[in-house]
Amino acid sequence: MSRSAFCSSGSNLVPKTTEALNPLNRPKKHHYLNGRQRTNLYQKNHRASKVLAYYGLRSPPYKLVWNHDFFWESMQPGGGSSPILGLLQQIEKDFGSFTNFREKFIDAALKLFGSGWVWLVLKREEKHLAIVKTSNAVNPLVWNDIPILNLDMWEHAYYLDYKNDKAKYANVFMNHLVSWNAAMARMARAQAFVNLGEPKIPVA
Amino acid sequence: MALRTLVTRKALGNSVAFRQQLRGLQTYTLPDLPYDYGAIEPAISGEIMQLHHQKHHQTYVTNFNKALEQLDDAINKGDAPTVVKLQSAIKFNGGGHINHSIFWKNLAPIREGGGEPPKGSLGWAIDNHFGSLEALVQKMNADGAGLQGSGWVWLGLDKELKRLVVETTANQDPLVTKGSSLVPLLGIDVWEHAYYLQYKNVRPDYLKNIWKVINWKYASDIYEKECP
Repeated sequence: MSRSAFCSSGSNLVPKTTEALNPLNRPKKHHYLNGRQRTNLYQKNHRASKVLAYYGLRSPPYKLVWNHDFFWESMQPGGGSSPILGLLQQIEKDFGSFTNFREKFIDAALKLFGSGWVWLVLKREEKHLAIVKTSNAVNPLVWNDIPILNLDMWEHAYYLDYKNDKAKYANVFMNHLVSWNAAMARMARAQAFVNLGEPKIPVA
Repeated sequence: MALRTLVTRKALGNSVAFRQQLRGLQTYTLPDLPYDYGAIEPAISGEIMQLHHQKHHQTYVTNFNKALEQLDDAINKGDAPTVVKLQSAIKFNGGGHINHSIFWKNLAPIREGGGEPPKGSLGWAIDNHFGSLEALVQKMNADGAGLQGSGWVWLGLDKELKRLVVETTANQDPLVTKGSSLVPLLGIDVWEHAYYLQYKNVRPDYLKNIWKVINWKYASDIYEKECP
């Protein structure tokens, strides 16, 4: 599955060339993150040697790099609010309402034990959206799910700004950072692989 | 020794604790630190010690008590699925309480003996098993730095085989999950909250510096009790 398929289409902040696939070449400009994020830190964290050394050579570093790149692209300045059109309809279908989805997503973030990630995925077999938690570097692609959004719940992602207040961090992500543009683009792409039903073609 | 507002702290957890005590349930409380928050500086900052103790450890204690109360309820109602479902919360929060209670005793200010190498039978056992104290420190640092995600690195004693071991556990699993005969002598918390504010992502620096405040006297006491 091509990684560039999941790059945010509307954003002019993510390089569109294949160089985007190589996180080492990515321009170290994380200024688009909400000012609360410590950009210096993420720049340092993304230098390959530090990534390898920090996460331990036993772990496949590419998994963590992939998860982090997906995470940067899951956010945008002035993010938050809610999706529209098809993705919103799908969320309402699978979670009852957007509010309910939001609550469940934040709840998953708070209930995660240890280091890990919270994901909104499209489940291939079941053909619906779901919230999943993964530990450490696990990526739901290994379960054949298609990631739509993720949230980094490793302590390094929020500790400098929020200390142990995970709830505040998760709420800030949902209210101000999450990029529904990216999610909608990924969802559109995902529907090339998962048939969610007949489109509603208006009769003339 | 900083003033401790014991009354306030007990009052905070009062409602849950009070109900549990009425039912004869054991409740757990946050142990006091044997030293001030700033006494371990510069190895670990006072800010980290305070957050670690007052927020993180306190949360484990609170949630442990809550999970135990829910467990008691579920057992009394014969609700087997809930009994099983609660196990992960009990392991996580109970383990967090156990591990951190040991951790505070594993540290000591330098003027109270922190960092002083072990003497007596533990010192001898370390040399015997690992070659030298430096070799043990190197091994624990390597294992601690290499641990992926959150967890602990331990110096333990296998009390049946009478042998020292270095082990790691994930998340808040206590050492006993790696072997029922294992007794923890020293544990080093390598969760990011234990060092991030001060050392950022450079966990190896945290591990290098923490040895300056390790309380070998406590480890020796435990060792001599198990291996007289």
